[in-house]
Amino acid sequence: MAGKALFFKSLKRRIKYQLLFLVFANAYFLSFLKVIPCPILNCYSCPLATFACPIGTIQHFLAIGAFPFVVVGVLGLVGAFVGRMTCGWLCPFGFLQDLMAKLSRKKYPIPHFLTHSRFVILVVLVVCLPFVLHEHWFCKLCPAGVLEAGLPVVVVNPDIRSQIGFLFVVKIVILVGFLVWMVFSKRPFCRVACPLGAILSLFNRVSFYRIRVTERKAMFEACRKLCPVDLNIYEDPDSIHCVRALDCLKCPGLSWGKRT
Amino acid sequence: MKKLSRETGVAMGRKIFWAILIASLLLLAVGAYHREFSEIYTNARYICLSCVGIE
Repeated sequence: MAGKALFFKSLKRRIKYQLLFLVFANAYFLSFLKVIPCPILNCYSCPLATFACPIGTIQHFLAIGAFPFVVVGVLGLVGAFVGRMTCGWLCPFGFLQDLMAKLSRKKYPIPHFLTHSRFVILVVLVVCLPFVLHEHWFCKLCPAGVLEAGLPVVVVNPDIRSQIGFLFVVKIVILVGFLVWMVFSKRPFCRVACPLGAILSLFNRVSFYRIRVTERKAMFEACRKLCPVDLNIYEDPDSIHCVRALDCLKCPGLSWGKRT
Repeated sequence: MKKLSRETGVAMGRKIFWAILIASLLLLAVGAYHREFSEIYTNARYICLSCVGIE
C-alpha cells in the first residue's frame, strides 16, 4: 500500500513536468524561440509551437544539401548529459502515450525485433530520402505532425482544408493506428518509430547522468510493470530503450546520479 | 581475451562523455558561424505542408 502511494506521488511529479512542458512548448507568444531545435517531438508547424522540431530541421538541411551542425550539436549536448531523459520527462507525444496507456490495464508486449525499426526509420526516412529526393519524408508520415499541426491547421484554415488529399488520409490512419496501439502497449511510438529517440538512445551508455544498480534484487516483474517502456532495468540500466522516466527508482537497489 | 577492469570502463565512459561534449560545442560553433540559427528560425516559421499532410 505504501509502495503504491509512493508510486503515484512520484508519477504525479513527472506528469507535472510533462504538462508544464506541453504548455511551454506550445506557448504561442514564445515563437521567437523557434531558433532552438528542442529535443522533443513537437511539430513546429503547429501555430502555437515554441521550438523548432529537430527531426524536421535535420530533414530540411539535408534536403537543401547542407549538414545540420546546430541540431546535431544540440542533440549531442543534451544526450551527453542525460541521454534519452527528454523523452521521458518533456516530450508531449511521449506524454500522450503515457496518458493513453492508462486507459487499459491489459498490456501486450512489443516484439523485440520491432524496437530496432526506429533506426531504419531514422536512416531511411530522415536521412537518405530527404537528401536524395529533397523532400521531408518522415514529416509526410509523422503522426505527431498530423496531431499537433495537421488537424489544428486544417480546422482553423479553410484554404488549407480545400487542399488536403490522400497524404492527409494516410497520416490520419497512421495516427489512429498508433493511438489504438498506445492503449494496449506501453509507448509504442517511442519504441518502434521515433527517430529522435533513436538518436538520443545512442547516448544512454555514455551520458554523464545515469541509472545505477547498487544492489541486484529479484523484483524484475514488479519493476518492469512500473517502467513506461517495459524494461528490466536491473539487467541493463544503460539500455538504449530506456527513456529515463525514473519511475523504476521506487524499486530497491536503483539510484540516479553522476557517472562515477 | 583481454579483460577491462571496472575502473578502465568508467574512465573510458568519462573520456567519451568529454569527447561528445567538446564535439557538440564545436558543432554548435560551426553552425553559428554558418548562420544556421537564422535558417532554422526561417524554416520553422513557415507552415510545413508535409507536416500538415498536403502533397
